[in-house]
Amino acid sequence: MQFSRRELPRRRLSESTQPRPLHALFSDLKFALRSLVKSPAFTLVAVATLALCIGANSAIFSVVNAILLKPYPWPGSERLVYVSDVFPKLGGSNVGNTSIPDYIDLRAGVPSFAETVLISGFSANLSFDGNPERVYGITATPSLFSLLQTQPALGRGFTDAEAEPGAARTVVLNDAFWKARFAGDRAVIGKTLRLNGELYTIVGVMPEGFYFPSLRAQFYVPYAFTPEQKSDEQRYNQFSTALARLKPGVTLATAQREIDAVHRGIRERLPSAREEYEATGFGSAVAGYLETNVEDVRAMLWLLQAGVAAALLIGCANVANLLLARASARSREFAIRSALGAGRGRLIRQLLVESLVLFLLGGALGLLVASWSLGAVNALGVGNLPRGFGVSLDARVFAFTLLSALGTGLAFGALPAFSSTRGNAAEALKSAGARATAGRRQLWLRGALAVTQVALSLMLLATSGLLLRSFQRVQEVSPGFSTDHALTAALSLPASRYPTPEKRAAFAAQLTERLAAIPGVTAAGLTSALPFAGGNPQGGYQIEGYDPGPGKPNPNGMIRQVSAGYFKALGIPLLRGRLIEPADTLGRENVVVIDRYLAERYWPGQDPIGKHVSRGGGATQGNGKWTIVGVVGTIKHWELDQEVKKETLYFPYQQTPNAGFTVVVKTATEPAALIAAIRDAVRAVDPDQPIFDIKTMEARLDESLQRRRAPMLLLTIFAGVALVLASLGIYGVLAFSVAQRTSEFGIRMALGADRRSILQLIVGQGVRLVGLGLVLGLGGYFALSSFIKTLLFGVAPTDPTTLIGAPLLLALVALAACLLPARRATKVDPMVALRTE
Amino acid sequence: MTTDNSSLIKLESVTKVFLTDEVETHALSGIHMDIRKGEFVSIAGPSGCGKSTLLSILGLLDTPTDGTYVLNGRPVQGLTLPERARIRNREIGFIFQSFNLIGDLTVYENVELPLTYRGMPSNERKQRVTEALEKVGMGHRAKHLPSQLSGGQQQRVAVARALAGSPAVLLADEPTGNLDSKNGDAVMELLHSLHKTGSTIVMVTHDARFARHSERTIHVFDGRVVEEQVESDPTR
Repeated sequence: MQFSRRELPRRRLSESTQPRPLHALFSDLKFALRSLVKSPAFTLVAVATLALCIGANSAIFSVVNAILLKPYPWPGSERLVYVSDVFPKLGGSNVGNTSIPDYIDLRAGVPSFAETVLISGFSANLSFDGNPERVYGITATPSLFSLLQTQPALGRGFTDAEAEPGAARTVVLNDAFWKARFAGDRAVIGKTLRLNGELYTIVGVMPEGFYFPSLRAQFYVPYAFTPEQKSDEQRYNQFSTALARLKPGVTLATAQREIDAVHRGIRERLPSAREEYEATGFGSAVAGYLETNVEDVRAMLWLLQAGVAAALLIGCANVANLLLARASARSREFAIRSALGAGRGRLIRQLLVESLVLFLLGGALGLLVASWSLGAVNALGVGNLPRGFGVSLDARVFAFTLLSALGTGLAFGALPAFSSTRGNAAEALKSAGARATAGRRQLWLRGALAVTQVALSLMLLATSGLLLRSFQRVQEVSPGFSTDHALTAALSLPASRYPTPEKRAAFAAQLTERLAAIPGVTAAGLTSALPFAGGNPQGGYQIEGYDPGPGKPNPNGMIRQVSAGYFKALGIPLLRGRLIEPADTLGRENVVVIDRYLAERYWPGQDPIGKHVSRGGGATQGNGKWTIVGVVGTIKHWELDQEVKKETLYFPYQQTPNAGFTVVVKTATEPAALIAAIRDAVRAVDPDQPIFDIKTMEARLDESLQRRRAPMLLLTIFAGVALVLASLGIYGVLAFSVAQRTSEFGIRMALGADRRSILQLIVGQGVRLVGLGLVLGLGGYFALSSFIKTLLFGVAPTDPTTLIGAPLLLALVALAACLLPARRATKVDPMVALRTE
Repeated sequence: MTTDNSSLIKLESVTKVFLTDEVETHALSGIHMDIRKGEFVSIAGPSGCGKSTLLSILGLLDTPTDGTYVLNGRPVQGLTLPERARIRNREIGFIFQSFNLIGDLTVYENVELPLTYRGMPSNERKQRVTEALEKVGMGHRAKHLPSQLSGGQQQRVAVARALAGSPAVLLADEPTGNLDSKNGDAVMELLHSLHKTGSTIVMVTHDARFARHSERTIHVFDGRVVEEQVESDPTR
């Protein structure tokens, strides 16, 4: 081949020599895509690993986002606060509950509040098309709509006049209720709705998507305060919830100072109540609305997010190991590029682009995984957590997924990028074979990744193990009653139909009689507040002959009204005296059954039977003095893992009949089979009374465990995934090492090493990695143990079973992962290995 | 031939010592070398004598332990890695014994690669690549992958890649080492033609038959220049 001088002029670099970053990036992107397509197995494994890990992270983040982060859909919701009456010297708090006079004083006297509202639950019997049905709404002061800065989409909100006693009844519907009941008829304004037998005029319909305080609320009615409710005597009657919206820039501390000033004014104005207020520490506390609502699940959810993030890191370490192996195999390509003028930064950028493409693909598929797994996450009980109904993939979850993919892609892509481009290009170019060699540095890096994986896996395994044991311990806790074959259903007697205690008592007496007569029912009773069903009426009382001492509050306990048969139906044991009997009716001697906690607290070592307690309020009859006739076992009312810190007093329902109650029947057969019979029994007494909230006691207890169960199950799943990924990581490192050392094994064998010594060599390498990972993992675990401790029940972070079991399990699985490459090493043919060298 | 008297490559007292654990290996010792623009120089010597190390230093793939290296009038031994990469890209064209084409790139893309690193506009790149491939007779295989080519064809592509950027010097490391004699001769003929059009070529070879294509042969033994032989009538 001949060239003439004319054909090949020496061109100097007159052409454009300025780097073109965008063009180069596009070029890297093109090459990255092609490169991934040409290695389908690698791409499939890496993208699948990333999709699963990033998808799991996004799914859990969607839960964290919906519950902890996402603001409520009302403008300025981040400034909403609870204003709750508190009694610090009585122990515990009563978050969300406020009396009407306190609300009125605080509304007028706290300049930091831009708006306030007082609300209360309002479940009612709805008569619609002749079918009685239980519906749920909210009674709210007219300020509700301005507090939430949301006005009805149709019609209007409430006027102040409508919140006066005796005013015409009005109602504002939520969008879903309007569409379901009125087919979205825009002419609904002015029509009426019969709630608890009373006609309510529909004045407004809220916008689509609006809810307050939860999806359960179907409508709103005005909260009318009677003069009696506004009186100072009602300050201890806290059955409503006060909310306020702080003015912009106002802190909780400022608002609290102003609230305290209001309470000082109340004490000065009411000298007769001052002693009692000071004895109980009575006041009001302000707390963030969102923060308070999710307080119980916040720590657990963040732990869950940390757990799934650890699983992501473990998965990413595996992908980084794959990238390292791939980069090692491409060392010659990088050397060529380097020889052709690519600087190290250019090569690093190319590798980072390849990693980012991989991780972004994983992230994109991860979103699909997250979308698919939301159903499973809900099935595990997340939907029952506070605000759990709002779990979805929104823009924030998309951004989180993108950032996860970019962040992990850069971090884990940087490892192989920096490691693989540090080699000597001249050396790499000398190598004639295609087989790549990884330097000691790269092997060290891969080992470090595997150690990190083991450490993170151990932390996850130990934490999930502790949560598992903790959950078992909670399940082992006796609530103090029997949940076996106990079916419950709620009723609420409308005041219009049952205005007097006698009418309510008569209804209850007839109903319990009919319930007890149902075939298969072995006991039937009712209570004003069922354990594990929400609602926990409490109140102060006096004990005859007991003086709390100067500056000390009177006793305060949980108040229940129960019928004869209730204790038997729930299996609450009688310890002394007698139970409530059908004969304990209005006009007979006032009696009360107390629990063991109260008996031991105020009469330790004595018999309380025949002693007296007295109290005012709703449970007052006659002279307000109640004779203790029996002592029953202490039961848990809210959570199995919470210690009982307050006594319970059981008053006869027939002597203190209130409108709302829950029936409990003990059955000899499958409880669900008796639901129809219970409904028939209610209809037989009053065909217009619906029953609602029908559940077995087992289901109620089960729901109370959701807060622990769902995160525990998810963390256990992630720990299992982490275990598998870490084992794959160990396997990958050792398999790589075996591949690199094939000729060494050949030489060793040629020199007389037997297969066992080769096996020991590889397994020993794996054991060192696993051992180091376990030590680091235990260190990390102990560093976090003070946080983990707050989530445990009945088990310590140093629980020996967990701290021995988790490392042992991990070590065994990792050892199994070591054996595969070790066995491969023992099968090396010395002749073949030496020829390779 | 267009040899002029200005020096393109000048090495003075260049040494290269490899340190492995406690062992010092002197790969090059006191190398002096002066290569003028337009010259075709062979570096010859037995295996392990240091000629490839010398070529790596000349190609800025490696740095001397001591001594000075002036390329095109500029001392280069103390440059930073990015500066060295930039000079490799613009001043040096490599031709390797094992071709070193990137398997995932087409023939066209392989030749284009150094121009891409240079940030050259695509239309200019296209013109350069097409021209270079045509000159080595590989224009018709532009869309093929290296694996679809014979060894001789791959080496022609490698030469095109080295040529495309119009480098100051072509460094060829045993360019015929992986080729049969027929293809080896063809590649040498190609290099010879390039030299005739003015290219400066430095070729490492242990084959005296191919060394005779150059104007001057520098013999290296045990890391030292032991003899310089000027070919009075280089083979075409």
